[in-house]
Amino acid sequence: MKRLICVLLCFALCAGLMFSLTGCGEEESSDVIRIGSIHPLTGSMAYEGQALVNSQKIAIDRINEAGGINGKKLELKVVDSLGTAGGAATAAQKLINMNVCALTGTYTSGSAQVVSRTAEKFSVPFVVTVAASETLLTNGYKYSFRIQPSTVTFSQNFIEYIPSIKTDDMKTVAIIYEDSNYGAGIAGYIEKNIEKTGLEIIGMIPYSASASTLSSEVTKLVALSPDILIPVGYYSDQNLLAKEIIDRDVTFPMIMGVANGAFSDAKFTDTYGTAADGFFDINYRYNPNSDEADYLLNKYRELYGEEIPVCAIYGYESIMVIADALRRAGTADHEALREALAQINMTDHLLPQNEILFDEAGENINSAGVLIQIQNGKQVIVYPKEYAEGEIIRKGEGKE
Amino acid sequence: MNTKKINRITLTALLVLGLIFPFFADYYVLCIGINVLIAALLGQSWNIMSGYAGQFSFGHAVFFGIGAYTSTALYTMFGVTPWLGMIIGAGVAAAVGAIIGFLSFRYKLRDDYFALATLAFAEIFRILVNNTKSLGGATGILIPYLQNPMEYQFASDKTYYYVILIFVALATVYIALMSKSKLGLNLVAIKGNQEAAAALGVNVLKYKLIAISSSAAFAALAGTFYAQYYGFIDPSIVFASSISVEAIVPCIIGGSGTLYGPLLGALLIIPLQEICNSLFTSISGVNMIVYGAVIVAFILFCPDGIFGRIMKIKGKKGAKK
Repeated sequence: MKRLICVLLCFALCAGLMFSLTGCGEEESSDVIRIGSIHPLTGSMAYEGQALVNSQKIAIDRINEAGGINGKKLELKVVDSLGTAGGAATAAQKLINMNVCALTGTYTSGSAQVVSRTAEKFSVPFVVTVAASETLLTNGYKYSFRIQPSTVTFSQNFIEYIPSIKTDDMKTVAIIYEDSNYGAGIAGYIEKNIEKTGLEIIGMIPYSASASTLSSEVTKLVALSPDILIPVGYYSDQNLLAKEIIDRDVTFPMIMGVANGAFSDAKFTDTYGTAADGFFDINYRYNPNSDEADYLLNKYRELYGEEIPVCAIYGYESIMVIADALRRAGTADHEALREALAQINMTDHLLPQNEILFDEAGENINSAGVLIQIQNGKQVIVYPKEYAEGEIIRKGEGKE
Repeated sequence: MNTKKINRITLTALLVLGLIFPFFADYYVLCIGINVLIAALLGQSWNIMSGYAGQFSFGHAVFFGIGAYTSTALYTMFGVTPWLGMIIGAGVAAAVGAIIGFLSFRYKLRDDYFALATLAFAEIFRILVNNTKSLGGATGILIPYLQNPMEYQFASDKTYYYVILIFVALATVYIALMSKSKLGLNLVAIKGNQEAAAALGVNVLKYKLIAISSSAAFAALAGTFYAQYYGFIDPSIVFASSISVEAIVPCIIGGSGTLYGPLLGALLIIPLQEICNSLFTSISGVNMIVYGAVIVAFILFCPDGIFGRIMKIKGKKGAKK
């Protein structure tokens, strides 16, 4: 009998534990509009996840200081996705329970896929902050929107930009890429479309992002000696690659990253200084002519004591996009907000692109990467012309 | 009161609790309920092979991933309904389990070495699928959004809940029947002392392979369910070592080698994880620390798991100890 009681008691306790989560922070309030944020705050991507949340907070504060939306204050509800797809789905459910008007997230593509499905199921708008996977919006979802360029856009940018960047004697290309969704996606697209540029691929070298050294890969590259080297990868692995190239004093006529996690990052130039001068990268970035970008950069530095990681600009912009839609919708109702998001036409933003417009699938039609070059230990936008902060410096030029 | 009676009453109570749960839960709690049941199914699957038969697996993700990929690939490429794909996936996982088992036992890998071998197989499959373009490679596979019950997709999470509840019940009934059958007795004998069992005429290899295959089949069911519920899989999600851990933890907490241990473990650990996430939002990482500390505490003070502990209570005298 005693054992039976123990057993039943245990189960009852555990079930009680589960129900203790019911109604987590559900208190309804009419003068606040909630926006949900799902980002990895623990695990290997916690740094970027936290940066995205930080910049979202800056946007929220800015809007609230200016009087809020139609007289109501905005409130950011943050839930950790734990960096896993399952965690992100649970987080989405939790936020929907808290009556958020929209979801934002998620930094990783797997999580974004799962959240977009949950958003669809519950008819809640979902604005992707960062997730580049090309298949993300291919399921015909009506409630998901993405501001940032996808892997396809970045790859197309490369195909478009390269003819006017390369010199006539450049003929051959080698791609070194990390072998997951993102690196392999970009490399595959470029491989398929390279003939449009008149170049020829002489080497495709995949590696695992968790590799502890890329020494043998660089040896292979030296043997191939391409005119243009395209490295695609995350921060830490591309850092390894750059270190290997710089330490061994290997030179290529042109090194051009595509959506490179390292080359566009302020931490990268802090580490290598002028040693990485000349490296190119096609990536997302803020518009250097935008006052809003200035505001965000300064505010971030002031509040968090460091330069904003580039990906985090999409945290800020996601909130601004939702705020714009909320103003026009005049209500936080999911259906009306979705309608307003779909019809967005936003010219006042900090991205290097024309107005923000979403197509049928929810992709930002005008999204584009810019070409940056590292000059004197700093990232400088060199292409397209309307956002350029400087001219391209060719090998042998610019150094006294 | 004997164990048989306790089992029967607990089963009834659990079944009633499981059936009425969705009527009291909001969508968030229902989602946690589904996660509890996925962990419970994985736990029960691990329980068959490791808890009862004593073959410690650290790579259950391989069976989970095979289940998810088989049904999803068959569905997106050939239009085979995942209901059928689920059964084929279970079959494929069972076959792979038998092959892994045969290879390992053929080369006399035991205990820790066998555990390491299963871990290696999970990694091999992850890398294999990651580099197979026809399976979507690293990009993964997105399942079309149809909400058609014939395609194993439901408009309401409540239906998903009942589907996984049925699978967990099936696994539990299987274990209950198994533990009383000749198969179960042979497995316990093998776990206790393989040589002695062999000397008494137990066909050790055969029974070990049966245990691995049936365990793999249930893990594959969980994999298919996961794919259909979340609608997206990629190798880093379904072949992740975290899935293997998710299969082990409920058993460790609840008591491996017991019928209800994994159920109790899952019912405790998943909500606990969620509560930690909800309580410690201000400082990132604290949730993981608390969660880890609880598991360490269990292993230190309750190494047999909750259920193992309770089953040791015998009468009034034993209870005091």
